[in-house]
Amino acid sequence: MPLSDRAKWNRAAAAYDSLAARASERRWAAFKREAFRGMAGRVLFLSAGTGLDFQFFPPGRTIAALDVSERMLSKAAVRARGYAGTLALHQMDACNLAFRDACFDQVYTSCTFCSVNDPLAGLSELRRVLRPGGWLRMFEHTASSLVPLNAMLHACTAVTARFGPAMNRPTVRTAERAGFEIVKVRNYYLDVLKFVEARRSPGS
Amino acid sequence: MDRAQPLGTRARYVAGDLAACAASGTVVAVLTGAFIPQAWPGWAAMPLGMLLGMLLSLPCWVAASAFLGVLEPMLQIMAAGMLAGMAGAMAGGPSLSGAALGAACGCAAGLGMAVLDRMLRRGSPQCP
Repeated sequence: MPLSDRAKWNRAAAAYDSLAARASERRWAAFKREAFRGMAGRVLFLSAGTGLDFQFFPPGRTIAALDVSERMLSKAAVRARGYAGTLALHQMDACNLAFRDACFDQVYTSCTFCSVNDPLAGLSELRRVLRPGGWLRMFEHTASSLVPLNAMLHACTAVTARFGPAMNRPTVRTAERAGFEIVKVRNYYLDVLKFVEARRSPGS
Repeated sequence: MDRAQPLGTRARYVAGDLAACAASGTVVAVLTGAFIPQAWPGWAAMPLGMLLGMLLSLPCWVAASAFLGVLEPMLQIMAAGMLAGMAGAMAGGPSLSGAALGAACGCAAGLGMAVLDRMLRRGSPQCP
């Protein structure tokens, strides 16, 4: 587990809700509700963060949620108790999952691959634990296809990556490289914030 | 038409973003006007104003993120800062007209981003 990632998010945990996440959660509430409404079967969710996303989960599901930071998870544990379903929290690095192959029907990610140290390794791990034919659904912010916007995202990353996420990750392309079949991409803000629906091929 | 987010919610956020862009544009234009010497030629003042505007917009988007979310204000206020920085540098010193120009640039940048957002929501052929 790269210590820097874990240390970074442990440090961010104290002020995460008040400084950054709460206003975004309010703004993105409708998008997230839409993105997570298809949860069914055995679901893996990452990253749990402080558990702000749990309010958007449909009730009665069986979900394993993970995060790299134990401080984030200690806050998430309080919110997990309010979920009307089965929600188990795990401290784990996305690049090194302690689950057996093909043990999940669906994987959901929420603003995760802006922060994972090695996105290709992380997405390959998600493919490994997803059953053939299973769905990967990602609510992510990524790089842009427009050059001026991308330049701005690179400039932002110089600041944000020091204490939090990178803003310039080509996550959709990385998911393709990891072996997922991209089925649908829906933009929520510019072509930066998006919902991506991908699939592990049934025969793979 | 965006099915996920109700129109009223979206309108409220667009108005909030525009106000934040106008406010940060005003601040950035006044500060770049103060920092960049009036005697500098336009070809030097404009790119420096843009760069300075981008840097000066950073505290504005950090402040706005507590109310409006992180991603959207960051991009919009940064764009507003770059435009307002150029305008402030060309205005020649911190002035009321420079501040008004900065606010107008902020609004223009915010509106431009809102229009671009509507266009891009229809889907991007090349997804990074």
